[in-house]
Amino acid sequence: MWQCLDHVSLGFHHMLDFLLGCCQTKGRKYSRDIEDPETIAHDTSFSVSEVEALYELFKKISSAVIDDGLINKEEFKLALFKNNKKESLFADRVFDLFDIKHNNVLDFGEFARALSVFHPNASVEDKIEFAFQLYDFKQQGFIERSEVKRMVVATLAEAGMNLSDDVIENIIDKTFEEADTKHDGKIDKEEWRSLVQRHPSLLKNMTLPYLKDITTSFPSFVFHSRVEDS
Amino acid sequence: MNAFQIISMSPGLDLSGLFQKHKMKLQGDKMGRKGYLSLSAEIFEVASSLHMVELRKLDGDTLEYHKFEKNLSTGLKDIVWLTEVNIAKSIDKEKQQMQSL
Repeated sequence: MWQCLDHVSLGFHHMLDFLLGCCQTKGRKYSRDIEDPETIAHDTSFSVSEVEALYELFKKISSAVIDDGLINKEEFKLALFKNNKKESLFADRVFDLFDIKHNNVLDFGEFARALSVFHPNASVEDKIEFAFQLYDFKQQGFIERSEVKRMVVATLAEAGMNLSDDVIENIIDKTFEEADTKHDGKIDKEEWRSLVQRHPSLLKNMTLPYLKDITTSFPSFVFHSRVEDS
Repeated sequence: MNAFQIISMSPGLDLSGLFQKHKMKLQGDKMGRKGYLSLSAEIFEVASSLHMVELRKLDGDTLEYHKFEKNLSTGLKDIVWLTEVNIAKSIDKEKQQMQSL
């Protein structure tokens, strides 16, 4: 229903110039090493228009504190919780997983590729893998009991809930009884996969239905189409 | 209850917050007919000079909410392009015009 702008067919890089000029975004500086949306679409579950819409979101998040075309941890937490002071074990872990280059910032490529796993169309295998890495805090290739306890305690604290240590130990005992089929005190990837297959709701937070509607929530006023050279 | 079920409920693992940009919850300061009126407002930037605001009633009396909405759009009438009510009215008007052709 937006009739305010004409549809313009431009290449992705031209789009930035168009936006900068036309919409007077006060000469924002962009990290010019933005990957071609087609490459990102090819590597992910996103369509090209979804990548372009995602870029709109990325721009908003990455300019919140420092306008450098990159998302730092503070901007990430601000976007997630609307509060950059909140301490969150999980948000830190998620950020670290997104940060493939391990340079404490997320560029658009990292952002899009990580979020791709959360797309409703992404493969369950990718979601299983991501969740496993998320919970494997020490990155040892298996989830230790102490890691599980740490996460349970952190979650309960976030919810303002207090359960006695006995109760928590009990819950973890039961979880390991079911999950740790090799009885070695750890949950490896295979065991995790079986657990998830028995309890698919464990992957619930690995899917963001919003990603399906991203082109309507974050419209980018460019139709991706090739401009034919005459 | 499975430990991972508990963990998966953590808000830190809920990335949907990334998409709820500019979402606000507003609450009235006076007790209404059915408690305090509360609503959510979500702002979408369609273009740098055009924003869309989606208002939703969360709690309180519906009539009071409609009154609030009306006051808001009247107050902002110089900068508001369209509201749902206007759109509905203009659709009706067009229908009538077409019928009379």
